[in-house]
Amino acid sequence: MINQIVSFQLLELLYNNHMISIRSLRVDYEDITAVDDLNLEIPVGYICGLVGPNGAGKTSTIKALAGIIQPTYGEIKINGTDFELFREQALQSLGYMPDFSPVYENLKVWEFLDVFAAAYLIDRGKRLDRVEYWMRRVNLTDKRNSYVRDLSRGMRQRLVLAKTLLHDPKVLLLDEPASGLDPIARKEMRILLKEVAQEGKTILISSHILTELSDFCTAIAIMEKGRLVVSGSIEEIRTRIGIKGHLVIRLSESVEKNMPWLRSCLEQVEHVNSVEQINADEFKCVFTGQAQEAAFLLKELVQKGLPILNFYLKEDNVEDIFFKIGAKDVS
Amino acid sequence: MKLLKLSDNALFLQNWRERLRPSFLISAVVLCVIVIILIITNASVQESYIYDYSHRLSSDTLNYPNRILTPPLKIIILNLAKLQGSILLLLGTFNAYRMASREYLSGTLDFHRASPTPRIDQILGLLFGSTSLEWCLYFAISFLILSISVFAQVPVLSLIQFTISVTLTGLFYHSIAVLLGMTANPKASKTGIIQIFLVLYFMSSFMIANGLSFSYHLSWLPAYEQLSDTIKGIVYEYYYENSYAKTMDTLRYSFFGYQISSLGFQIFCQIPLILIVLSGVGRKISSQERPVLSKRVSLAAIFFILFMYFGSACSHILYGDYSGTYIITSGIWLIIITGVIGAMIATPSHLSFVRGLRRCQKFGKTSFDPSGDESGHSVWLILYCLLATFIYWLYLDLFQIQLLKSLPGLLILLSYPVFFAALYEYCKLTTHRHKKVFFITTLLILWILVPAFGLMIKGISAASSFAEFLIAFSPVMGGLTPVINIYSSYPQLSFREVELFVSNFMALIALLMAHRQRRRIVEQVKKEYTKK
Repeated sequence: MINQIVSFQLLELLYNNHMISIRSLRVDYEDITAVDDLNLEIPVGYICGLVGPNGAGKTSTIKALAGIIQPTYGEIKINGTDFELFREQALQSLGYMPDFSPVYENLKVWEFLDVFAAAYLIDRGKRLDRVEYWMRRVNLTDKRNSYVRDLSRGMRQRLVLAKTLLHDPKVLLLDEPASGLDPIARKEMRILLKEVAQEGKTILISSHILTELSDFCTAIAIMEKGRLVVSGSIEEIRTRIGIKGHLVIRLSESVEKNMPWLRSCLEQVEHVNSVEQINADEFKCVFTGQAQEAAFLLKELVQKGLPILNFYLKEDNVEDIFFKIGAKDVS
Repeated sequence: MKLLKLSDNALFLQNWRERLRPSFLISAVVLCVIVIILIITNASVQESYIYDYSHRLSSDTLNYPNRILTPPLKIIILNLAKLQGSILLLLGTFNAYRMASREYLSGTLDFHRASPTPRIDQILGLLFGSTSLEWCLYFAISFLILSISVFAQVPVLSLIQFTISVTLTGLFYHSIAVLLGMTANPKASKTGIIQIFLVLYFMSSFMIANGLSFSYHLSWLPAYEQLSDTIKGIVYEYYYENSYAKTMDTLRYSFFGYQISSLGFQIFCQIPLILIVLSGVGRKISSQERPVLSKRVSLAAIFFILFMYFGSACSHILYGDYSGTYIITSGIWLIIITGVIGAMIATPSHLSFVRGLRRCQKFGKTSFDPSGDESGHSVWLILYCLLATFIYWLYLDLFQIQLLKSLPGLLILLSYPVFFAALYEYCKLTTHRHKKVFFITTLLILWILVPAFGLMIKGISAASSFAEFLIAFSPVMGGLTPVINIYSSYPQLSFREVELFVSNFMALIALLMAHRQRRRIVEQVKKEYTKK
């Protein structure tokens, strides 16, 4: 019977290539609904940024996925495994890192990692090798025998990240991993996360600092008031909202005298709209065309005698998309 | 065996490493050695005698008793046994609470919740890891005692029996401490330590004082007493032979009037309770929001406690012990107390109840699973009433009284926990649920202040029926009526009718209030889903 269920799950995974699958998730607290009917699917290898203002339900979603809080209802599948039916199996594929990670202050760095290697059922023989490897990866080898209480905030976060990755999980749930870190520690964390992302893991990461996510997210899910506003790959969302990015043009002289002429000239071109001046010599316009069409436009403007110094297509990043879509009420 | 593979148990490893650091270990060992040296010195310097009056069996003359010197080695063994008990049961319990509450309050438990470690391993890791230092010292002293026993000619079997007994009691105390730690109030974590000491103090004094075999065997004293008897030898003590103390000692080892083996009875008393408590620890590890016990387990726990209490109380009546009256009265109050505590566990919180309703609405279900955490306590309350009726019937049967004759007494007895359960549910579901003071004040007024006022009026005018009416609000006074029902076939007492009316009327009102709140929430959730 169990074999049948497992083989059914494998089949389902092959056909339905989602590493994280959430259906109708609802999380309630005493007087508020933190997550309301959330449906989200993250394919294998995607790095999905979960963004939204404070109280949007990001942490509750991640906690429900990690099995820390009990949702009111909803189906969660990790790596094709139903969380409710095969909890331990699902947790084996998960790595969870909270925003303000509690740690065992009185343990040494290697002891801390060894404890969690045991918690993730890694064989005793392989435990120390795995601990040593991850200490090297997060640059904590020098602190091997230091007590956790003596580590800086940045080091602690790196330690917790190492703990999260010890058992080589296929899915990572990172809740504001860089929160409370100084700029240097934040940069270190970003480099580390990028390295991990390159290893093909599926990551769901929540963050307030949207520029952090811009660098390596391949998909985003925007939440507001417990609901999902939009989700999908960044490319998909750009297409869906009909905005590819901005065309930024800088001239060798002031835009002022050329502006009316420029506006009439550009507005005749397909894929271009809302021309807007940025600086004295710079302006931008929304461009929905492809690269070839941009090249053609450049050629045309040069032919018309426009003194162009800079001409580039700036694609919308996570931050731009969030401000375009996310910062509104769900209603 | 996989269960006890502690070297691969994360929570055990964490606690073990923290508690067995060389600095801690060395200081603990040094302290222990100092205490052991003091024990040895004291036993060598001070002579210990027991007094044997056996020669009086053949003669009525008031001779002096025979003084028998207990060898110092035997005294050392007994004192080391006391040290063992203190380390495991006092320090161990304290540390089990400390480590468990820290794990919960610091939030590190979340990491273990999100790990694939089986729940049972997490429970065992916390239970044995938090007390690892105490267990090490305990077994080291056990080894020392066994070594001395070779020279002191003490039967090894009695020492093994003592060790098993104390080990079991240690597990019982530690599991309670871990559960208390997992339910520690985050706002008052420091006072939690004081609370546990108070609980332990009162628990132990209750166990020793009341002479009930059940509660006595929840402590380690029977084990120590048995060991002491074996080591010192049982002698004829004249005053003891004809004393009330001997009756009490006999009663401490009897169940339903039968004398039983101390270790066997201890296993019978403690293992079910350890399992119940550990199931609570497991529930708290899996989710902090869940009540400590499931509805089924809470009923099983209540039944077990009431049945064991009755079995012990029964012996007192059968042996004609004059303190039996007090024990039966306590037994009746215990029915009310377990009902009150059980209702607190079985009543769902507002959040849990609403979650259950939303789940039903979402999946088109019409009713809850009555044993689920989110369901109301109605079915639980009915089952509790049946269970309480059975236990009350056992008490009545002991005095050969028919249940029907004592029906008013039974109704009064049940009305108090029912009233409490309904009021508690009302207060948990009402829109003013955050104001806990409302519930406490209502209970304080109805159960304490009004009856106290009634007692004052009765003191002024003994015949006042108004006073009887006010007194009837109290479960303490109300609990007396079922006791009177047991002890006598008194004709109908006037105050019993008042009590019957007042207590049942109050229970009915509270039930209606709770029902109204339940309906309100059901309608609210239905409306929420109709809109969608």
